[in-house]
Amino acid sequence: MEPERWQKIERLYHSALEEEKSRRAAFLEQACAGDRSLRKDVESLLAQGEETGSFLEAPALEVAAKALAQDRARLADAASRPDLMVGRTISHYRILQKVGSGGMGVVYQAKDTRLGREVALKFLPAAVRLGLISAPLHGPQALERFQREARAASALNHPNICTIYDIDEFEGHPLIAMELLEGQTLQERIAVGGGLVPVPPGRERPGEPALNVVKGAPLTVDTVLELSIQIADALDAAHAKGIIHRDIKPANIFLTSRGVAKILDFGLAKLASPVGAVSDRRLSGGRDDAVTALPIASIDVDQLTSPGAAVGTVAYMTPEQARGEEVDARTDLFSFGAVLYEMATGRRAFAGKTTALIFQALLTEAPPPPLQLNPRLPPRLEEIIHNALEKDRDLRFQSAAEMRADLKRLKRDRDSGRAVAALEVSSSPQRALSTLVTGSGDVQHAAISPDGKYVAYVREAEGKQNLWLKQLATGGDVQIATLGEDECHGLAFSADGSHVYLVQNDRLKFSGDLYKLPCLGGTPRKTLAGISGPPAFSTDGRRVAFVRRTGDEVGLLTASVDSSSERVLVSCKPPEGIGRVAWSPDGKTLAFIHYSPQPVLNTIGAEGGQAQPVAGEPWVEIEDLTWLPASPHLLVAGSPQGVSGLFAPSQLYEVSVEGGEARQITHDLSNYTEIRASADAKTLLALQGRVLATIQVAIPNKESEVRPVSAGNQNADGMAGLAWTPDGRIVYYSARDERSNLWEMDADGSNSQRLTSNDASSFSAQPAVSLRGGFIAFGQSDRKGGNIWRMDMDGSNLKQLTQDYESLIPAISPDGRWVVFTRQQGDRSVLMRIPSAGGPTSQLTNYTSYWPSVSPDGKWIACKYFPSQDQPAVLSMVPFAGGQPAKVFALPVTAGSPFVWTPDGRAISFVNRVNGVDNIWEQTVAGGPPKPVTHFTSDEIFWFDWSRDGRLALSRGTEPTDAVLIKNFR
Amino acid sequence: MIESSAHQVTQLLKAWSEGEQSAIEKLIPIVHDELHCLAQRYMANERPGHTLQTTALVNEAYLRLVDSAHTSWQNRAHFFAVCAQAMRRILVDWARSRQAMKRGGHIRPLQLDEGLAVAETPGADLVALDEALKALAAVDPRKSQVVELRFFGGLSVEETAEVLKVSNETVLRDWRLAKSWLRRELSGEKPDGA
Repeated sequence: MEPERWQKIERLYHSALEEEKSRRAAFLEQACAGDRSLRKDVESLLAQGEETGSFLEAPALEVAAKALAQDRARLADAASRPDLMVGRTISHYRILQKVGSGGMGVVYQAKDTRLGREVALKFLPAAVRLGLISAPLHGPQALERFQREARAASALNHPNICTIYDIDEFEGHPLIAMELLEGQTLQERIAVGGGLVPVPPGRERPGEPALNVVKGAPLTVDTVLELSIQIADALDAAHAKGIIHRDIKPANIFLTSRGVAKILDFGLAKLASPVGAVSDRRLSGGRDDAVTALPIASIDVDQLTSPGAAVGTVAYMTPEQARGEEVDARTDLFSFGAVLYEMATGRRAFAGKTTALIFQALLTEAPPPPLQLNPRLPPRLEEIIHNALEKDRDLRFQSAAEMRADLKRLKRDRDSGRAVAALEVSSSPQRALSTLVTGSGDVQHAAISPDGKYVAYVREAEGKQNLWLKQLATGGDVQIATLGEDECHGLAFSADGSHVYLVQNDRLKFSGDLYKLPCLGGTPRKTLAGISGPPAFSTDGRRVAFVRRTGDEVGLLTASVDSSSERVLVSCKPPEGIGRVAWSPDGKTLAFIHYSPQPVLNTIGAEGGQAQPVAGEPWVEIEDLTWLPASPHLLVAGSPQGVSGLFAPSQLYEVSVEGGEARQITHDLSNYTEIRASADAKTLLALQGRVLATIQVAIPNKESEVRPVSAGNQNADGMAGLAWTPDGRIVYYSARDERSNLWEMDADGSNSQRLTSNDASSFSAQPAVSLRGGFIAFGQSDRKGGNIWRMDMDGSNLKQLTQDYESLIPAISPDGRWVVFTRQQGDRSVLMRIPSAGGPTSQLTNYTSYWPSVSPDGKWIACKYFPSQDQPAVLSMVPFAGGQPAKVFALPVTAGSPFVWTPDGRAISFVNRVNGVDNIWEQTVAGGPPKPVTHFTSDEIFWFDWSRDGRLALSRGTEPTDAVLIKNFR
Repeated sequence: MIESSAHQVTQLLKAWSEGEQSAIEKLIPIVHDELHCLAQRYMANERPGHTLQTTALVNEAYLRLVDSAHTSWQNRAHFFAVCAQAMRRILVDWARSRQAMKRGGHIRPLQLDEGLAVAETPGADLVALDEALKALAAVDPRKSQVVELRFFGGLSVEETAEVLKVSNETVLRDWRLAKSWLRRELSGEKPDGA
């Protein structure tokens, strides 16, 4: 537009406005002088002027804020209107009905039309995307962040975490498809239990924080423990993946109708948790409004219009969240503690009528002791709750695993308390009673104080070791030192119990230094250098005996604890060696293990002299040794020869120094690796390794669909063998009922039945099933050793095939005529075969070879083969008739047993452990490098077998090591 | 604390006016914060028996953001101008992203036929207003600036006059014409040849 013309318009506009309204037309008529376009222009501007009213009168910030307020109101409105959603198909989900709201969105039951399953479909408010709910998240980043979080959470595959199937977006609404659950939330359960039904969403009266002061009913102690162990386990799994929930509260814990706890909304809370983004101004700037001041935990859509309800969420906040600090895994533990408090008492841990009052309680007050509210609670549960609710997170449980361990221990002790009570009633003979001292499964070493009141132990997590001290009376744990990555051993208390000794050395070196640490924490002091094995202290605490390796020589030495007056008592050179040492109570004698190379118990005078072997049965292995105070007996953790040819877990024995008689203290399938005793000889402390395993059925590359089929993991199911039957059942080893037997079950775990009947001293394991059906070959062992046996599929017609007590690991030829097995022959294992109906055995290899598996075409035996003493093991294919290997394949050094042909005969599979995780790998017969066929991300695989249709039966689990106390052992 | 926030805003505005583009990114969350507080206050008070003195709240908010008393700027006028520009940019961007969401269909589109008053159909129209303001600037830059200072910057007539170094009278005249012009522009009724 010409500037002149615009000036003309402007002048005319203002002039016209000065005229009376009725005269304007005439004025313009004259002033425009026939310029119709000019007149129209000015007139149209004047027309606007009359009605402008509020136009642009409110500043832009107000306009925008009002728009925002309107959006929120509408959003809250739309979210509570299922009538708009039910019946619609969104993406590939047909919405069936609304099942709930809150927890950041509306939830519908929907049918996944693609997969045909029903799911729960949660719509998050579109506002999440734009940051209308949470100020610091705005724009596309919010959605992206949401998706990233949700994806991470969806990778959580845990029975106690609600599974996320799919993350999508529909018309601006982030949506999540997840596991459809039947049951109720913990919030409902507690409230209903108390006779109070929560107000349905949307019907709360604003300004009336009714839910906040809910007084529900406590759950039973058994239920509390059961559920909380599940929750702790879920948190542990999530935290291990670096995912923090941030909003643990009863409304986010679902109880299925089967009594399983499921944590909801993992990874979603962060969306509404502007951590660290909330300035102090928000909390202290005088804004008393609950919603405005709500800084962190999630804001439900409902709460946007109902400030009173927001108070509910604040109640499960943590001190660090209230302070606007960064959250970490321990934050979830505090919230979990608040949930636990509520389960146990029926009352909120932190209550108050206003946000400010709740904050105050959260930051400064301890909730009323749970025992006061519910006198039936075990005091230890109260301790656990208090520990979780520590306001300083450094004083809290440091991990969900730790909390779970305490809960489990409490549950176990309650359960075993009942069992013991039952036992006493039936007046059975008393047996050694062992109780777990730790439950984390990662204990490396443990020692008991002379007074029997404390246990020091070393835990290792991710390669780092930490020293902990537990007070047995209270169960309280304190970490007293961080030990780092260096290897440590020889943990022992000083004679007065005030200090702990331990040896630390570089992982690559044979020798380390002895340190003394105050039990109450403080600086470790190096007291002695050049120690190669765990040292032993004299009862008076003044002298120490230890092994030192110098160059090629290994010596047993004594010294004062201040490192003066060292003295070599005995020395030797490889292949001989010296192992653990123990000091006699009177300080005059040392017992030690002399490897020659078999371990032999010896004694020697503390001042020197001639070493004397202790009489008695030879040992296959001795793990540890200590002198039982005030007695002529040694306590030994080890395996005497001839206990079992198949597997001989190290057990605890009391061995007479004089005569060498060994009395077995423990009779279980655990593996004991350390043994210590209190000064009064009444309490033993041992390190106990257990196998926790379940049988699972998986299809390669679909590990996410892996199905556990055996019940629980306490029976080490499949750990010592499992095999498919031709008709799709599974024959497996199980330690059920504390006996090692073979069992059989359907592939879904049903119809299990025992096939063998062993007593405590015999073992059946390593089943092989004939492809044609008809019989099972297995290894059977007792004190004298192992043999190959066979039986019919139902366990009948037992027949012993070998009589040499040196045979194990059978495999059956496809035609069912032969059983191939491993025989220990002198110092090497060789492959043998025997007709399956019985008959003479014949030797197939004359080199070290074991773990046979016969190819489906019957032409080859795959086995592990050591070409020579100093070469690594390889995988070899030996002709069925025996002789030299026809083909060998390099094996990863991390490869383990067993070796199993794939059903198509194309490859040989085996277990391979990478970064501590076992997977099935295969080596194709055609050659090339071996490849993984499963992709598990945790756990060990103890055994596996292929079915004809390509399914894997796996025995998977863990081998936790914990400290146990043993009483009444004599 | 309020002071430190205003101080921070001043610093950021200064940096921005001196060409540091990233400064505006840091201003966005501060302005959004205020926006959310305000919205929250509106909602919290939208109950029977409560009347809200919105003017006071908004003034308070503006004061926190652009309190000239705390500016160390030598040129107060320049400071106001920069403030208004920044507010315009941030709020229009906000409105644009809100529109994007509206297209998703779950926020009911605001009814344009309810009238043209932006205050009644807020938010989305900030974007249209921004466009119209650009058109106005092409015709008459000062009038566009008056709107920017008053509407986006929240300045009084006197402050606007100070910034533009004109009389109060001129500001009022400009403001009146600009509003008429913008309203016409937003209504889509264009005069012939315009």
